[in-house]
Amino acid sequence: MNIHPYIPRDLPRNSYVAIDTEIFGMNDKTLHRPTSGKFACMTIATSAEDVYIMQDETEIKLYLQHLQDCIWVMHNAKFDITQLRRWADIPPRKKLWDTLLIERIMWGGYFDTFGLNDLSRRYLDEYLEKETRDEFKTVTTMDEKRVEYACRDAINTWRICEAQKKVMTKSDWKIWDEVDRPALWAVLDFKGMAIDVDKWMEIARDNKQRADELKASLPFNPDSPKQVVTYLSQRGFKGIDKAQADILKKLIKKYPNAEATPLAKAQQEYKMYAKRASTYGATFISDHLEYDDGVPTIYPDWEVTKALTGRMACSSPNLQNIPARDTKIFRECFIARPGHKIIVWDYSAQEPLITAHISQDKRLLEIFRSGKDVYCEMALDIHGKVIDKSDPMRTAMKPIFLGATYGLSKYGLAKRLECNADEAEYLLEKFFKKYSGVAAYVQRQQREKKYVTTILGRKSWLNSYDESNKGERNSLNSPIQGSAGDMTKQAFAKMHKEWDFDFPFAVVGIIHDEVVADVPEYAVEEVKKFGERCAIEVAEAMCPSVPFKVGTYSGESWACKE
Amino acid sequence: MSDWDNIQTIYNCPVCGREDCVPASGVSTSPVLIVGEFPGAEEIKYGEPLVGATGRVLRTELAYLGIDMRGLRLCNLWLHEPNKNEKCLEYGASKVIEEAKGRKAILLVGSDAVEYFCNMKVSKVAGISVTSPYLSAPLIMACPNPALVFKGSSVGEMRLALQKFAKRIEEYL
Repeated sequence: MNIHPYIPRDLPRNSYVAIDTEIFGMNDKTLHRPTSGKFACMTIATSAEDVYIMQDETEIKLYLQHLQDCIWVMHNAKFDITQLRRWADIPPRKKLWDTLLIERIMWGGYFDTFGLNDLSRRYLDEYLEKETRDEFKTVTTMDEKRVEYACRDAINTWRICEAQKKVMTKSDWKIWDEVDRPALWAVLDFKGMAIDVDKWMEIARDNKQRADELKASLPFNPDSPKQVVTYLSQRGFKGIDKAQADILKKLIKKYPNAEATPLAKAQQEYKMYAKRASTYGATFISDHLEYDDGVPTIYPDWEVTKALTGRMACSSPNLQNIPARDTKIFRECFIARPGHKIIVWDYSAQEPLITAHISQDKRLLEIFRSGKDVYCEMALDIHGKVIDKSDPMRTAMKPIFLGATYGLSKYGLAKRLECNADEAEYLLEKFFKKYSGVAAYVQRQQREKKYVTTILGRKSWLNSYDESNKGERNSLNSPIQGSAGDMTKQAFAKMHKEWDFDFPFAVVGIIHDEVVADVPEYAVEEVKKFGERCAIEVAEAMCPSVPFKVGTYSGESWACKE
Repeated sequence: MSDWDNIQTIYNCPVCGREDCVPASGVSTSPVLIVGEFPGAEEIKYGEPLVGATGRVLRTELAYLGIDMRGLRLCNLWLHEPNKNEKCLEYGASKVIEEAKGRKAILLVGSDAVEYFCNMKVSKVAGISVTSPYLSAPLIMACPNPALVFKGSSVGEMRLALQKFAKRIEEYL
């Protein structure tokens, strides 16, 4: 490894340069934010041997300008670009190769880890030490060892890129070029979500108080499975062996008049409040709160591709897990900035529509093209009953549809529908008989042993040794869920690319099939139409055989959807 | 004719006295040694290492790569199921060290074997050459426990490690 102090002036156009950034003293909890630490160095590898190190933050802009015509290679570009933007304006560029995201595109499901050290082992047969990285947390100067470490990271990133180029397929490139890279640039421009801190804290206090009250009212410790089982078994819950929620739910239904029933209900209620109090308590705020122009804001870490299916992930904190079905109170805390409104775009029946397109099932295509409600039509096809959207039977249709297409066993479906396994089996059989195109699709997928792909060609590798139902579920799940993920990414990436309003890109989060934005009030209607157009266009380009609908909502908070 | 190399006698652990020890098996003159973690129920039942879930996956994967596991030497770090007695572990390790003498290539399979002999986490060194203060062979390589593929782990890491190992040992077989 040759370490040089200055970058050469004659770097050829489109040459690959690997860039790595090190920061001193970053806060471990906010590594995704440009809010802590000081610049340590930027290393730039231009070959398998040559690396340049720059330790003066005032020169970052100059260096990046000099590299303008090169192809930037980074491992986890989200981190480097977020940090480098503290010192230089970095607009979206096509000439970017993220070894981390590209590895996930190529090998999602085949490997579990994608760190630079993992890729160094796999591609270069080298052990890359990462222990020195910890030193950057506490030191403020570079020494020989740290220089060597930073340079090695850049060199290995460059070499890994070279190796990846040799094994990357056309469809892998297409996913990077058309989905993940545009989505990455959009994610880099996501704003934080404004939060009503007082309201959040009040809810946290209420949840804690309610949990404490319930705990005090119970004659046993609701956190002790042993005590719960012993107490309830002595009061009418025959055969109880575990204190799990699904077991208690069954027993509550089985013994409605038992002395144990109200106690079990109270225990379940306690568990719910205790979980809410701990997950969505004061630390949710204290760990993540920032002020954006004086507005309390949460900036989560959005991962462009993390899940096995290629969908996005969110952490620090995870907004995708915020309860939405049981209660709106948490979503109500995520509010529009002053003078703004929240907009939510939500694909209607995204996964069923994708299923119809992938399977080309004639009956499903007919339902969707006619504009009728798929679950009401399913009730007609399976039970011979005409129902409307308010009928409870419609709700029961969803697990049948999703269960059938995701490889849910008759036992799994029985659990969800709270019926017996024979009944669940009958419903699945009836579904597949009526929707024979879906049945054929499921059979095709079950035969796949190596990997399955989304509509756009994103691979999800299968584990051929998996003897559980999980492997089969992955082969069925991934094409549909992954296609939904690709579609949502393309939708917000298109919005980002075409954004031409007189205020910055306003998307604040992606919650599965929902895109959430925070926009000035005067532009709400225009942005709503714009987002809807983007979402529909990408969906219909991906699945031209079915018509997509996007629900668009606006209001004071994220809870505006319903 | 019997393969006299493969005849083993069930023997007791000289440290704790357990009677279900599983000694090394396979071809004693093989240039390649595979070291697993500890014998499971099936290994104890048959008195041979690597005949349970781990061994089944290993055998299948190596067969895909053109290697017949029956031609290799096989043993475990522990001679019996792990207990809290450090001396049992040390005794098992000493048997591995004896087995390792003169071999050309050693594959350490699973976190226990890799950590004991290399003081490294298998996740950090899977599929690359490692060194060991206890073992000396031209090639020592680490591989994650193949049985993890039944417990939610992806197959890639294990498969790649075995592919690399198979390629490296071509010259010895």
